[in-house]
Amino acid sequence: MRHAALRYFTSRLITTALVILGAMILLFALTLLVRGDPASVLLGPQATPEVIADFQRRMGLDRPVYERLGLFLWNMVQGDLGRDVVSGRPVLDRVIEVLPYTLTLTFVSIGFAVLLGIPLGCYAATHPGSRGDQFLAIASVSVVAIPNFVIAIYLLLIFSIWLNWLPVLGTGPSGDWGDAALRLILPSLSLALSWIGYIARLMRSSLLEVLSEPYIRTSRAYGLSETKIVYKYALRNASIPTLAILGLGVGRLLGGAIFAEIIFARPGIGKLIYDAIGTRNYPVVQGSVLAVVVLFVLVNLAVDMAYGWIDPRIRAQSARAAAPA
Amino acid sequence: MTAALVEVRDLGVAFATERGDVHALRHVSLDLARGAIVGLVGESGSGKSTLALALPMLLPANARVTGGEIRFDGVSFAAMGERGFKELRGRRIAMVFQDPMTSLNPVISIASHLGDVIARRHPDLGRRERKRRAIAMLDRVGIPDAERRLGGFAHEFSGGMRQRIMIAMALLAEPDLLIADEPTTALDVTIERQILVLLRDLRREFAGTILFISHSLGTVAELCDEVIVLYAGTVAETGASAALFARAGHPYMQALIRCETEVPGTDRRLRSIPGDVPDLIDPPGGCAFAPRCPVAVAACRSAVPLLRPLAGGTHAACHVAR
Repeated sequence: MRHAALRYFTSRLITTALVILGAMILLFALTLLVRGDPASVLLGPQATPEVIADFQRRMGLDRPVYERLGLFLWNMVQGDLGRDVVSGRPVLDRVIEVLPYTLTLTFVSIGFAVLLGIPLGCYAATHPGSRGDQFLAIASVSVVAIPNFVIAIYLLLIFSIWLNWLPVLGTGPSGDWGDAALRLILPSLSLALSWIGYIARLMRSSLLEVLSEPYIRTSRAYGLSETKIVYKYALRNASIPTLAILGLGVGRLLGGAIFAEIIFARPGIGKLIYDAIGTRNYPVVQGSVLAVVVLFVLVNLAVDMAYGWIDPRIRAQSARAAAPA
Repeated sequence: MTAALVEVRDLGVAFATERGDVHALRHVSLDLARGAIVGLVGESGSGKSTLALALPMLLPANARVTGGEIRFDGVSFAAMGERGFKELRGRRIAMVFQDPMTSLNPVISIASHLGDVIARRHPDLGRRERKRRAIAMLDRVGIPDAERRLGGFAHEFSGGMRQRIMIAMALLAEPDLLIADEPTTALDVTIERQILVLLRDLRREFAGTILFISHSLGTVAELCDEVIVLYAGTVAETGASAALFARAGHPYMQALIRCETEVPGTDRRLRSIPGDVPDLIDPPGGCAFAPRCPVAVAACRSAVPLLRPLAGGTHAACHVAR
């Protein structure tokens, strides 16, 4: 059993590595398709053809495609994401510099989504048709339907400008954790709000479905309290779809972080990508998109592992699937 | 103590459906004597499972009680209220369901299933004692290597083993009434045999009443002291098992017995009673069986027959039977 679980883990790890490799190749291919030459953008309109040619030689832009791909992959595997065309600093450094901001923002948002979405969904499922349920239904659909950036702008207007409760922009001076936390509230809430609604809806429907299963009737037949039935016997089953959505949600949140980072003027990987695209700073775009891909894939790997922890049937299945025939 | 453990009087249950109300039980009256094994037989759709779910009031949300009452140990459900009959569940009434594959929670360990039942029955017992009792009971119902398998999950057990676990749960509740709703229907024939043997063995240790629901007359004849025959949501005939199988009075019961015994060598499933079970959205006015009954007279189509004693020692709801 242990051995099979290890085997399953290894096979998932290999799949993960393949996905990352695929992403690298796609990222490389993208630079071939995008119009605009980094040399002319960087050197400006006055650059002579000789200067441009020299630049291209230094950047390796004059070599054949397969050679550039090979070099690109080899460098990435070694952790060399190339150099920022504008500042000349290693891309890896720039990514590592802003990554904590984006990670904090993303995981605090997920935290909000889970800590508010799941209890609200449970409440709605255990009080179907009540006023609270009806209110939550309308509120959930509203926050899911309104785009993140609109929510962000309204949150800014209401809480920072009209009520003046929370700081407006930026991340604040470094080292001041309290201030940093305050400045995290609005951006993460603007990202999380639609996910709170989404998870609440999902949780409600999957919990209602589980509560009508025959095994719940068994628990009722033995007189277990409704609290025990919902939170011990039903919630575990009902949380599996939510977990699956969370894995995908991290990807969406990382994407959504771009808006939040721009609107709230926070440093982060989204803002890094956004600025780099504007200046055709390919290495930075590639490096930071790759970082996002790696994060996304790792989170989904963690979600896959969590399935087995929640549901013993999946644990057994994956052990069987991974075992040699 | 002389009164029956369960008295059902004039009970009606209807299910709301898109086509209208389905009257699954109509004017059902019956007694479950203390310490007896009572068999409940009838075709699919006769209301067997509805009655089984009505006793602990576990009816689905679209069902409602349209009339009559249920008394448990002399107290009516109406008098004890919702809190009262919920109190019976897991303490005085336990159930074994038809399909052991879906009746156990897939993500909750067997230890939790059994432990929670014991904790409900004996809230004062410690964790260690609960575990000891759970292992002893699994051992008793024939789960090999009980101590190791206690931590397992439902999917690790075969259908027969799961039904043994369900029976272990029921017995750990030490109920006055054990309802077994077609406990062997979902199992293979050989496994069915084993479960029936187990139930019969347990009979010697379990002093409570058992309501055994089955569509197999042979099983009921073998296991039960008394039998209740349901047809289209009404009681057709009741009586002591021996009397009923020897001298059934109701034409429906007679036809059922013929179905199970006649024409040796042919597949039992191929034999049937001519005609269809009536539509319970709009049940027929008189005797529900009249449209299929070979001996029906004019009165059968106009007046609902009431249960009355017959010469054979049973009670039948039939105008014709003597």
